[in-house]
Amino acid sequence: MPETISDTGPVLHLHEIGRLDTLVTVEPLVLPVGVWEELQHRSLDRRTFEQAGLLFTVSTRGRDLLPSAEMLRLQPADHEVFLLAQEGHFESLVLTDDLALRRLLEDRGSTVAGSVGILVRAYAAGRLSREGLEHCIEALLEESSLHLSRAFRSYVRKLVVDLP
Amino acid sequence: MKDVKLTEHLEFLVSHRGQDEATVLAHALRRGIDSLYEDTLVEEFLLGRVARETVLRELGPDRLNEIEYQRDTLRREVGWGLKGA
Repeated sequence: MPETISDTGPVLHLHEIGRLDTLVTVEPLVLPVGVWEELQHRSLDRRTFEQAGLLFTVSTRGRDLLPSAEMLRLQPADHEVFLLAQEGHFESLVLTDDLALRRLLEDRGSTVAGSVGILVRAYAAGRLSREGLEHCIEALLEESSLHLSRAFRSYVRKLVVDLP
Repeated sequence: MKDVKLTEHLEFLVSHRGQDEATVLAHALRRGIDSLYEDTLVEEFLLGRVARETVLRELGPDRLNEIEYQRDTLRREVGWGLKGA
């Protein structure tokens, strides 16, 4: 099964709404050590992942690679995500809710998804009912630390309402 | 509590900008309306109720480009989720 590299955002946001288990559809996850440290700082630990039934590994590989000047605008953990993706020739799925990182990755051909996409995938895979999806999206938009403007929160609601 | 803070901020602005209270309040109102106007314009555009040309004229090409990029990423993401089952 191909691995999925994850940034801090999707893991944290899905944990905040109690639906870390929805990441099962893209496991195994590879978390750069910088991401792992950020998650630990927010009280997530190995047991949190075990309780959600998630397979994951923590990788230090991104720390050993040199960032390019273009990436110096990114946060350190985002650097590591990018470098791991680069090491895999941008063929792995990458999870992030960070628009700047997303743009860099997509420009190089990566497939990128975020918290919203993971919830929709869980719905499509039958892990969430329609009502469950709508409840999770509402919690994600209003209760998690995911930052989206009011305009984009409305847009996400519309996309979900329009789903088949 | 919030009102107390607002009053303190207003006093700070009056004192440090060398303007009277009415002028500071007029600036604040203007800035607040501009911000709410932009937010609502973007929301209406994303929901298909305001034309692209209006956003281009009101907010400029760079801002429109950012909005459309973020809109398209969300669209792609939902499409990816649906196909991934």
